Amino acid sequence: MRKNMTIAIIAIFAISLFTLVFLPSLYLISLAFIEWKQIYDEIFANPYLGSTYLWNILKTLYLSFRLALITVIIDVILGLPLAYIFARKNFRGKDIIEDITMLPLVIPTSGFGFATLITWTSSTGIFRLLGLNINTQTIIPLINLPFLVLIVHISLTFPYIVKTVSAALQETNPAYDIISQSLGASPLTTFRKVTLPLITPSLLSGSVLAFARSLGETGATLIVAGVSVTAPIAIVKWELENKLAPAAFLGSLLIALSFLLIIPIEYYSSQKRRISYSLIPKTKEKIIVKLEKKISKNLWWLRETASGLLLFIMVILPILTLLYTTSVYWSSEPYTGRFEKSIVYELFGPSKMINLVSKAIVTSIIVSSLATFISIYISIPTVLFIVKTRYGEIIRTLLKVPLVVPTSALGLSMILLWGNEGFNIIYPSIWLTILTHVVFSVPVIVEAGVSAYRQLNVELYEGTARTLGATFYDMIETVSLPMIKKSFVAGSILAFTHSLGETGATFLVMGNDITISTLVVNLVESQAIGTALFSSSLLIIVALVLLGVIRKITK
Amino acid sequence: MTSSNALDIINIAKSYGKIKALENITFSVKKGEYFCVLGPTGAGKTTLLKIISGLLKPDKGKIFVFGNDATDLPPEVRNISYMPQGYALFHHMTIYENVSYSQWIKDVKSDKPIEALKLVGLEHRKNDYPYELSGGQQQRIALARVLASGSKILLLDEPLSALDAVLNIELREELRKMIKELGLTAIHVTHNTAEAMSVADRILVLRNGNIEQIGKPHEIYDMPSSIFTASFLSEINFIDGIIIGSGTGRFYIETKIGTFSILRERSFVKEGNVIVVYRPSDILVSRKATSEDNQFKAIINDIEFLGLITRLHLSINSWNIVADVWTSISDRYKAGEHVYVIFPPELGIIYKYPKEGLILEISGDQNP
Repeated sequence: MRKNMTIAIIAIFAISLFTLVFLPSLYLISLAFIEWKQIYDEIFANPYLGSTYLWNILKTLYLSFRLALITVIIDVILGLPLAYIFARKNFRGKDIIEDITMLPLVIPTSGFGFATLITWTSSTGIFRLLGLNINTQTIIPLINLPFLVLIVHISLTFPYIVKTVSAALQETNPAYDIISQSLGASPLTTFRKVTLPLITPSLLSGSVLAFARSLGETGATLIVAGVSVTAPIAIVKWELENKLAPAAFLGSLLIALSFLLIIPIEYYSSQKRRISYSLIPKTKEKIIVKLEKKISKNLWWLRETASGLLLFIMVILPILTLLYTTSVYWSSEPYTGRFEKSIVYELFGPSKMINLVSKAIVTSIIVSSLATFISIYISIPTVLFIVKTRYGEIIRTLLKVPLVVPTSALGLSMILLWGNEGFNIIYPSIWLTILTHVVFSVPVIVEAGVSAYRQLNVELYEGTARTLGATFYDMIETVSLPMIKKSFVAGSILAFTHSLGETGATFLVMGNDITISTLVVNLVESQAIGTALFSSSLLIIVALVLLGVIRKITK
Repeated sequence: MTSSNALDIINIAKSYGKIKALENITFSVKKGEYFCVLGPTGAGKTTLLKIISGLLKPDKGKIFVFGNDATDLPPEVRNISYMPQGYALFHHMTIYENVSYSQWIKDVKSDKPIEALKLVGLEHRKNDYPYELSGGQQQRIALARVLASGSKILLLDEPLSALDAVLNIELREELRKMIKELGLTAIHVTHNTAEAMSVADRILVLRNGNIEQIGKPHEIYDMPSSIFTASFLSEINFIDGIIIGSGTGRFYIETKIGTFSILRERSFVKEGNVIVVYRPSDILVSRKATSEDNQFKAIINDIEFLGLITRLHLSINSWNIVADVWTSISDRYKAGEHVYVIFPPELGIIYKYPKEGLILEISGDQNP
């Protein structure tokens, strides 16, 4: 009897995990095969447009991949020194600086995109004062990329590199560095010849995450892109114009291509064998070592300064500028002093923007709470399944899928799967938004639970509990779950914060139930700057408060 | 099945895929006995404990607890408690909640937890959390928890291996004392020879999933059943040779440095190629020649001062050996000095020459 119950529970859990979390990504890829004829007719041999769609698809993909690649390269250059400092140095306020570094991973992207936009282009931003004339049309020569988009992508992705690399550095024995330096190598040579080979696997997996995030970034990009169209933005635009065939085809291409790229690198970096490579020809080694000695001796301050500047310009400055601008524009326009141009007037005046904002806030809170709540219920058995069964690791790997799938592609597949083209159950609305947020919330919570289980060595305690008379269910209830509760709660708050700030997928699936983070994009596009300032500041402040709560819980 | 045994393990085997973790394990543990399982890392010690506790199912074999077949029982009804390294006190529960865990989980009311806390002398700490206690107090709480659960058998999985040497000695003495006082039967797994020797009533030496030897500590130390066990218990000197004859209760073994005579009862073989083993502490060193058997001339290459004893590194022709002598401040040995080395016939051990070769035998690795 009990055995049948167990089987039923496992079956229900497995089916819900599959349909809710894995199916959407799979569905979009399979759609390209199932609906091939329709896609072919519209994209490759469109009777009116010829192959215009195909060219547009290739163009956006080319831009997105170039952008992601350059973003990752810059991330690595800027992120490595910071990771090194976090892992090896101790100073006052290090905790706070580490938190600041991780901010871009949790704060709402549309709000952050808007913050970056006003930092670089508005009259309250510092760069206008410095005489830099930058706008959304500014293109960087040589690499031919839109400047603001690149800046935003670097801000939003460099924490992945810092996080994975500093974790790896903390695990490697600092004695290696000391030995190498005591044998006469300069710090820089030591880093290149000793430290770097040790952390290469983590550097690669951090880069993969950063690359995937850049490839799928939608919320902030929508705000700063101007006329540039990256692949995720093209999906959003086409979907809103109801051009489903090219949107679906681009979406499935994006998912498939990110996999083709990510899986080999993940596999390569997961290999235990030593990775050896040489970037510099052996004959030049002597010159390089000499150069490194010189740099280590004379330019040691560069590392700290560059890291500090990176953090300041990429993270702190935009947030401060946003909050500052909001306060300046709060009750009157600062230059003319007119009340009619103030945020208060826009919110509470004749346009009554406050209604729109408060409705979006309520929607967001409902979405994030319900999505997190559902995700927690799916995550608990998933964590147990991963740590307790032989096939758990497969599930754990599969759960990385929703994290690398571009969010707008995910949103599209949700519409196609649940809407009238697919199951015909749920249409774009608050309910589809909730379901979409579940897809990326489950992996976040599960990962927090699984890593806590492993780190705290819960299995040992479970064995003890069993021998003291606890049945398997007693053990789960009294030992396993209580032990990982803290991390589980922290993971849930993180998922809540993610959900609050998610823009790319939400844009497509929300229908008329606008969330606060997507509202920011609409407000910027419709030039309701005052309300955009207010909403972005609100989002970022809420995210900061939630981060503080996570810190409090996990410490 | 005689019920004077707390535990009877019969023919247990377990493999993980192609790797045989345990093979044909058969032994018994008496009521109230402190039983040690000693072996190097990877010998199968933890697997054995998990099988006894019921956390792991054996591929074959039977387990009897106080004479009753427990092979198919789940861990929670076996009445065998498992105590891993660090004691696994639940740190999200208070001391009292920890000790009364067993009652709480079975939803019964009982005075046992408080009695157990009184017995280990920590009743006044019952509302504290485990991290507020010292290592020794945590150990006592873990024991109280076992006692309160009603388990009569306690499995200890390397309980002391995370501790430093001094604390290890202190806590292992207390552990044995408490277990004996509480009337528990303990099976204690360790890779630390000194720890096993000091706490155990009997020791089982495990190697590559097989029982190498079972016996009282001094029996095992005196007459290790294999070269592996001998070298695992302490450092040894060994030399290969051939038995060339016997007489007056002795075997005569021809080696590259001369002939050894060793008591017959100290040999595991009667003829053929053999290995002669002597511990450093069993070798006598003297400045003057005596009329003893097995006396050889040696030169001191190096002297290692270890405090109470001094270790001499000696050469007898081409054979390098170590010998431990009591440290004497007034009469110190010097490097380069010529001395006489005596191998007492009643202390040597003769083993058959291992067919896998000597290095493999001593390292204890599985045959490829």
